[in-house]
Amino acid sequence: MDKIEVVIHNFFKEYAGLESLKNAALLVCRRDGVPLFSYKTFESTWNDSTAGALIGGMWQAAETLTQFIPEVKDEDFRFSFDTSSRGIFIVELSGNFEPLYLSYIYYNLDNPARMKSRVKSIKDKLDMYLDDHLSNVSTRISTQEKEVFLFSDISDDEMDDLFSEVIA
Amino acid sequence: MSFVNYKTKEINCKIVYYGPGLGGKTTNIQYVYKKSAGENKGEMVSLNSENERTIFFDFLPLDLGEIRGFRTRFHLYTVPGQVFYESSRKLILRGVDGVVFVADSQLERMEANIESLKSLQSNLAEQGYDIEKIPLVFQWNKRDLPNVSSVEDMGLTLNQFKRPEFEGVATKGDGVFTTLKSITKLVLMNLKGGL
Repeated sequence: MDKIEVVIHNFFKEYAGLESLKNAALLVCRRDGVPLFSYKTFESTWNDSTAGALIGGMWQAAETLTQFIPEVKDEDFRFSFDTSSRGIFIVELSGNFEPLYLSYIYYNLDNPARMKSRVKSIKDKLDMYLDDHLSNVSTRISTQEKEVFLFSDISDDEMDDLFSEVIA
Repeated sequence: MSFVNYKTKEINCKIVYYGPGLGGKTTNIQYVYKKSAGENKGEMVSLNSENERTIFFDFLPLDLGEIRGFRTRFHLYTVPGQVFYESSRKLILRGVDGVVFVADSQLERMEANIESLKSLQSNLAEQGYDIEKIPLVFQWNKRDLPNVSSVEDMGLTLNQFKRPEFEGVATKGDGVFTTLKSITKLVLMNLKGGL
């Protein structure tokens, strides 16, 4: 796994309490929607990539909409789309790392506000954990690495092989 | 922004289909969805209006096979083509690894193609990308219609960057996978970070 992904997984491994989540899913994804961590207590046909793409898109659309609001400064926004018992709640992880979103999707809850508060608490802890654990590990590719291409050349045959399994 | 996971040997990349409204961007990825084997694709999500015009984006996660030991996952997005959705297009271009410009070959749509290409160039620049460096391919779509510009004219007018270009009839699937294969190759070869 990538370093940031490992750190996030370690955080949730150490964080005792996910087992107590009921009727809920927790997903951490990047701005471009790539999922880094997910935990679900229910079956779903949706894959994490699709959920991540929508979460990233929703957040960024909402963030852009805040430009309509006068006098918005650097504030901690959260995104909420819900009824009294089910919905979606997204917060942005903030620290010295790339933008990440922590989303909480839930249903059949008696007191969603309490869980949202818990999600905010997870966010705060995860912010600190990421800052602490990424400070010694560069999450960015070094300049030297950046200048090297992963694949120096790819043949047409390799591309044909790559697509041979895809096309039904 | 691509995501290379060295430990699990996975590569995630983002490809955006860009172009004028009603040019066939959504039709391209709908065809990919239709023709892809079940285990390779996730759900296709379309955020569109009642008349099926894209208003935010279409999204299709596609697992390709392995290349040199790396499993490859591509996230295909389309942007809304209509002029007034510029802010959505900017959002969707964030973190893009490669662009397919789907142009409408009909003569009367050339102005729309040019306008859309200009918008792509400025939106990429706004986010620090150089259109001359980013992986980019062109698809001249709707070649089956009467009154289309010649391929030479399309290339001269739109493809000043001399990138790969393909003819397409997305409704029939012609050129769809050829175009996707080409942008996929360019994106993979543009990935940074030595083994």
